[in-house]
Amino acid sequence: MIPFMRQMLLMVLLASFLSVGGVFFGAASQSFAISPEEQLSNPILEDRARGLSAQLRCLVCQNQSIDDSDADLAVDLRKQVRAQITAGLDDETILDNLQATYGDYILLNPPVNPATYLLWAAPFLLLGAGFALFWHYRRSARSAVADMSKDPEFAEEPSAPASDKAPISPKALGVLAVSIICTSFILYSQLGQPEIAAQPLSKRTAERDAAQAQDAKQDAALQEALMTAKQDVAQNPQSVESQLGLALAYARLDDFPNEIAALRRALKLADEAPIIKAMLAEALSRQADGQVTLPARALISEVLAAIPNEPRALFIAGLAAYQDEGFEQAITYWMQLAKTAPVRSPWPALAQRNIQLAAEEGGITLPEEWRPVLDEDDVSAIASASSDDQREMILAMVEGLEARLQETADDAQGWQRLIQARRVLEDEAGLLRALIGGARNFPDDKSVQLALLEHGLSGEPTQQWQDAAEQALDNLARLDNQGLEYLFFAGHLARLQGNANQAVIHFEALATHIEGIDGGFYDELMALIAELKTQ
Amino acid sequence: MSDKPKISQRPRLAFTLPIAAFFIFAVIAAVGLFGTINGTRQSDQLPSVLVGKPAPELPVTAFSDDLSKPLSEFSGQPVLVNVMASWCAPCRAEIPALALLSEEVPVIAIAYKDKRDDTAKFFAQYGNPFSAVWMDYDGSYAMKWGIYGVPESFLLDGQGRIVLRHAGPIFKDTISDVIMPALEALQ
Amino acid sequence: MVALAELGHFALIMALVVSVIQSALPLVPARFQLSGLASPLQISAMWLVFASFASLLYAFIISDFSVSLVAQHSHSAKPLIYKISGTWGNHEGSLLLWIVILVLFGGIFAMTSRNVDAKLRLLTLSVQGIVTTAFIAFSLFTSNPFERLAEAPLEGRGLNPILQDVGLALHPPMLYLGYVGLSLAFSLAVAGLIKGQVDSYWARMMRPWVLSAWSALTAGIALGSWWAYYELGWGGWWFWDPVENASLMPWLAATALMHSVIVVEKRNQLKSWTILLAIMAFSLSLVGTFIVRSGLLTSVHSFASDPSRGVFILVILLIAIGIPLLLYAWRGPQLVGASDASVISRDTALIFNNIILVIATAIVLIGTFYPLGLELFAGQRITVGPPYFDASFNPIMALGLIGMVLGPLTAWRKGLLPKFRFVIGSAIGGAVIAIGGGIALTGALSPAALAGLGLFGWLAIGILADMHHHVKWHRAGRFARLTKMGAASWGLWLGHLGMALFLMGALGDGLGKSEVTVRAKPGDVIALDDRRYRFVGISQNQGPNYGTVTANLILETLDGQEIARLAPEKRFYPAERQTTTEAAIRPRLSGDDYAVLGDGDEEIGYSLRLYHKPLVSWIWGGGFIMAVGGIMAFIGRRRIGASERGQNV
Repeated sequence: MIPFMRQMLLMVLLASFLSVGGVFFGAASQSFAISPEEQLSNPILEDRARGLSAQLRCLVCQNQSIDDSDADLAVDLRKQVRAQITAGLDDETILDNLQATYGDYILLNPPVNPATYLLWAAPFLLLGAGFALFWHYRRSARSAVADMSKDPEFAEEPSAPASDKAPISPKALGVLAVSIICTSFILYSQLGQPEIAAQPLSKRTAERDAAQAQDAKQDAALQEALMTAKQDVAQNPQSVESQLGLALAYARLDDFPNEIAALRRALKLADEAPIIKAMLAEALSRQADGQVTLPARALISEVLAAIPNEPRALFIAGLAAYQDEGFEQAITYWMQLAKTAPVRSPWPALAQRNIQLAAEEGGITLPEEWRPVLDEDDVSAIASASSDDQREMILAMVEGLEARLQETADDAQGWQRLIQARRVLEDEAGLLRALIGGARNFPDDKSVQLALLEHGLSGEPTQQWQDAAEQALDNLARLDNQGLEYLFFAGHLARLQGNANQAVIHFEALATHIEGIDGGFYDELMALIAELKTQ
Repeated sequence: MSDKPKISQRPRLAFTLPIAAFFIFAVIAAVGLFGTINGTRQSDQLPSVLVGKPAPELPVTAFSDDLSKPLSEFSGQPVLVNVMASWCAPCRAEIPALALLSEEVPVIAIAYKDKRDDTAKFFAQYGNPFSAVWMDYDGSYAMKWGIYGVPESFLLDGQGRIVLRHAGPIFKDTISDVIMPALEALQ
Repeated sequence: MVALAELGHFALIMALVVSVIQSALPLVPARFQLSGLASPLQISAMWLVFASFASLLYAFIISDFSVSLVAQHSHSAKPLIYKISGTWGNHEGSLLLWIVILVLFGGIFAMTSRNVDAKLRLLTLSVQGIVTTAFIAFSLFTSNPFERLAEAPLEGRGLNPILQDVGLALHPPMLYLGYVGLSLAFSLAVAGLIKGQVDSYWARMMRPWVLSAWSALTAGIALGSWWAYYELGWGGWWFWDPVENASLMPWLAATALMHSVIVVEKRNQLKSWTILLAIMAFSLSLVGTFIVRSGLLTSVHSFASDPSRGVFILVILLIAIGIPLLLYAWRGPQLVGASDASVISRDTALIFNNIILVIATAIVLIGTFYPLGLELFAGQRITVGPPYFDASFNPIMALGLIGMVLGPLTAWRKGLLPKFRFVIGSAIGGAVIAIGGGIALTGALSPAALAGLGLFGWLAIGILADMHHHVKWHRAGRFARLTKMGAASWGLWLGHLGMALFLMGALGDGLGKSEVTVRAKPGDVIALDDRRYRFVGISQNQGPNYGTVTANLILETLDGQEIARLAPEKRFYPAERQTTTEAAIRPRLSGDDYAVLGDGDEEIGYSLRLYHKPLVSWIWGGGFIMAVGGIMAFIGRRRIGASERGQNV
């Protein structure tokens, strides 16, 4: 069995790699260009080569000749030119050969052909036009002289300029000043971000040191985790769990080849378990900078053939479709993921987010229940409001959703959105209400029961929660026939209610199940039991 | 003004020349700009002069014996020749799309300035959608195809003539927008 | 406390509002009595934009990474000078610098034009206000330099190391002074067009602005070329790249304008033509901005381009160029004057000058945009490279250079000045000597090279003879004669002489350049012409924000006499993860020694490229002398003013 937390921790970094970016052709501006080795030994031939190179455009550069560029293509073309010179071809033939392969674009001196007639004729046309204009000007200027016995303009002395002493009305000035300032403030309220304080570097030395220390600490922690995982593998070489732990440790260090190796060992030990196969597919994709590679795709289709709803496989399958620009296909996968993955896992939220992105990218209109709580109009309305108003508006929309669910309680998607919205708003009471509502209306949905129960693990459990939790535990018992989660939460609730004996019974039953699987948690559990027994 | 009566005698046409010249400039600039924005103008796609001409030869060394089909074996049907390299990042990105495309038309690779070991590693990591892979160690063969970067792809008709050149990686929309229409035109 | 950058942001917004009102003032009915506000508004817009720029500068200096622009383009480890110059080493910041200069020119005009005709002044400031509004709006709404980051990163992304250079610190401000200085000529032209009155008084107002902008533009282009020469590492100084062409076109148009304004001033002629040139010169500056920032044409020098910004600039272009040109088509014919000048006259010479310069501008424009037009409308791709410009632009300019000696020998209205025999004789002699000398020195030369040399001789000796003539015939002592000649004459001589020097620099580098590329190990000796380089060794050092590998070279004569030491470097910038090469240059009037270090290691040796470039520094020297000539002419205007009217320049 793969413990729940571990599974989640191997969680997808992939989420950030929706599409694969690649840099195509870069431009070099500074260059050494021709290297000593390229040169021909015969200086006369080398001079010819340089001359030819200066007439050839480096096609991938920006207006550079191949003589001036470091680009790979420029190097190759220079080699070609020299090879042809050594082969005894004359300059014209060499230029013709290159033109035959690359077209006119390679010639810095545009060839004369119908497409360039105008270009080459331009200087002559312009000269002609210039002199025609000159002739025309002289004729008209002279006839104008003949027309006028006395040209008043000719004799015109520049009039003494009137000095600029226009009076300014104080009233108008005041109105103007006020309106300038007001308009500026209105514009500024749209553009400015006065709430962000200045962050001069000199005031941030402490912050920088802390960040560096934090990085160092994190590095050390990751290294230590790797050491522990390695020891664990050394002690239990046949344990799937240990190999997965090692893979996780490597993954956190971005050491993909080792992660993949560990996953392959785990896969072998676990008899090709589909869940581990999906993890391997994920690791392969991460190694390829997020691209779901062909080998990863093969693994995923094997996984889905075995377990149609395996969440990780569904997620990656959606990603592959997305990267192929099959947005509808991607949405189908992710919708399936959102429907089938446990509510408390990160999958539904990720799937929901990616569905939005894919819909946006592919220009697809989503069915009502898949749209975000806020549609585009809402978002733009909120964006244009001040930050206090924004919260108010969001709250109002969430309240509206909650009110609607009182009437149409069978809307599973609605309850899920409400739970998520309350969680984002950090509204604890509202979240509890949403969870209780969801758990009550969907007694057969295990994940929502668990989500309700988990809510009580953090903070001070209220009476309201305890009441609802009893009901949820009953549901869970019915659904899961007293599985691990049931045992844990039953013990937890009993302990809260002061029923130590009952708690010990449940916890001991849990302990027998997990002995030898999750060492750390087992030890904690045993300590808890011992503590309860003393009460 | 004193010279107002003379205006009618003078051709005013010359004075509209500047605005006309500016108009031509503005049209060119606007067409170019909007073409760049909506993607119809792709300045990195140089038209190939080899289109319509018989394809140049392939390199002589195959990647492996089972990937050594020469062009002649495909005669009578269209082929896509893809110039790629294990060291080129966009070449990785186009592998899934090439896999899709290989269901329609055989895809042959020219491994440009690549080492056999690196090519092998590349296939292990990203998969191999190619029907044949030819090693162009010094890049001299690919140069005859007039490539100016990797990846570049050439669509050949049944007679081995180049009908299309695409510079840059092939994605799914390249297949549907560029390659499939050309393939359909061949049939 | 509110960040200073926010105050700067607010100031820029306020400058926008002020500019809008300034633009609209001519529309306000007179009874509101607001027309006197144009100058105060322009001056307050100036201070507001200054404050805005200062706050951005401050954010760069203190590395306030909560300002997005600083986070993207600066780095805490950068030396202070490059933190400062980094302010305009990016699209947003350079646009703000552009606006700073725009309001600076507007402000100076507002402050110095108290005596100008009120209506002309109001209209000029209004047009200037429209241009300012358009650019501030462009800045605020598409390229806001004051964009903030709520989560300020602890370190910036750094500045491209190639741009971490004094050349970058100086080149853009200088170039912008030129580009934007032309805006005032433009505003005056449009105002004159609207008002329908253009006369010698208008021309006298126009000329200082044209001269100062032209000088700055000349210096800016020379600086840029110099920067490319020493920084890009292959010793080239002009590439006919679209961005370079974009600076050359306004320069050519401004040169034409500078000359035609004289005709308006002295003869009340060429008025509509001068207006057109003024509109054209600034329009071509805008076209340059468009090219650099829209990504429409690919260039070595452009900023990270964004076509959607291009749309905004295109709209600015349509308004700022289209409307004045429409106005020109409508009002221009009214400004045609009469002339009885003969074919041989200063009037005609200056018209000839203008025709040549405008044709040259058109050739550059066509050569730059032809490939784009062909691509869009015929689907064909071609390259118009240096060979085309050499074959078309150079001969046209050669005609102009011949005229540079002849023009000053003509008299206004009719005839030649008495000095013409002496000057032309000398110039022909100079040409013959230069051609002969060239053949004797370097053996067989191409006809183009001989023509170039002949032109140099013609131009240089012709101008010197002109100067000599003035010295000889003036009454006072020789030195006094020269100084008394007046700044305007000096402007003419220096401007034309600078051109001759530039030409000689270009010829020297083009004809006499020698170069060797080798792979060498410490201890090797590399011969180049009649000297040799001794490769002493490699040393490694640490700069403020980079590490270096330096090749130590000794330049010596063939018998081992040390001439100089050169140390070309390769620098590695860890923050930006980039390597740059720093050429070692020993500049001398006789020519530059230029050494570049390439790749390599102890094992295989290092690749070295060594050049000797005769006279190459004359290119920039000539450029700066031309710029000084422009400033002299500007001073001459101010001092001599109207008293010089009628006298031959």
